[in-house]
Amino acid sequence: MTISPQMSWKSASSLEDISLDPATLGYFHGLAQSEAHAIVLSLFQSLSGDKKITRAFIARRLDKSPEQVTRWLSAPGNWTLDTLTNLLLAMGHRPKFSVEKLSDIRQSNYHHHAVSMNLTDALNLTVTPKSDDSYALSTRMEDGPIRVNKVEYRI
Amino acid sequence: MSSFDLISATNGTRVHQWIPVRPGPHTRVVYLEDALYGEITLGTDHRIGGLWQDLDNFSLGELITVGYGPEATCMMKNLDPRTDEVWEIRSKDPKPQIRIFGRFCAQDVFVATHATYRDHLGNPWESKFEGNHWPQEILRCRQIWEQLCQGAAPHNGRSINDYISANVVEVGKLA
Repeated sequence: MTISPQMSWKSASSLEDISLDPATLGYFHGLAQSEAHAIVLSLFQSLSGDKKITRAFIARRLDKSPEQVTRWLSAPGNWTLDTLTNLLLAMGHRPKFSVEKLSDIRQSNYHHHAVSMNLTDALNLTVTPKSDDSYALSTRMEDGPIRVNKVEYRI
Repeated sequence: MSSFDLISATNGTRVHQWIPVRPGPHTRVVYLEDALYGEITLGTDHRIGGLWQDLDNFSLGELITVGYGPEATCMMKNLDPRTDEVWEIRSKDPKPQIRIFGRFCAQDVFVATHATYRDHLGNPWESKFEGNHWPQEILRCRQIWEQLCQGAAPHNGRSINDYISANVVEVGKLA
């Protein structure tokens, strides 16, 4: 089965009783890594202003090399919960978790001017195929079942 | 015509704008060259999901780390020679690692020309005759760019914020 990136989000948020496809799982695993990294790096940036918290300081606190700390801060790379906890702890913090329902996440109306917007996503519209097929029946020119085409609007 | 105008005009044919998977503020833009777009959007495996997330991370204005030259770890890198204005998005997880090459055509607008597995690139410290394939990929990026932009120069800047306006950290400047 071919699944588009956008279908992946919809299938994850729909709560259908079907297995999640590998691409969807890969996407959300990457998202979790990326968010954990962003939290740590943002904290480091805000605390390093007074020069007390540095990479060398964290390295000493965790008994690791400064190069390892640089690698952790520079990109999310296969972090574990232990990595996250250690880095936050070294800066005097601890992780605190929260969850968010996917279907509650709404499209933002803040876009770069070059963005070609998908109207249905931007307005949170759901366009359903027309269920009344009497018009199609009156004009059909071929035998066989009438296909109900999905409608997609773009601007 | 600027490279930005040319790229915008060919959206939907020679390039395709990446529509982020998850909702959010679409504050940066990635255009993918037609063949690359096909490869990325038709994939269905765990690895491709990680790549979608990396493209979303850029497009949705999330925190990006940028490096230059010998800085080994970062999410995006301006490759040497920097005057070529060739960048790579580094998609590191899950393995195998993928590198997406491209250039900026405006501030916050990245044009991805092609991609390759990191393992195919060899050792960057070797010469191009001994298994360093980065110069080859930089040349390929420039060639694809030439086809897309017909001689128009890529966007260039003096500081990182000329390329990425906000939420960016230069790895070399970490305290």
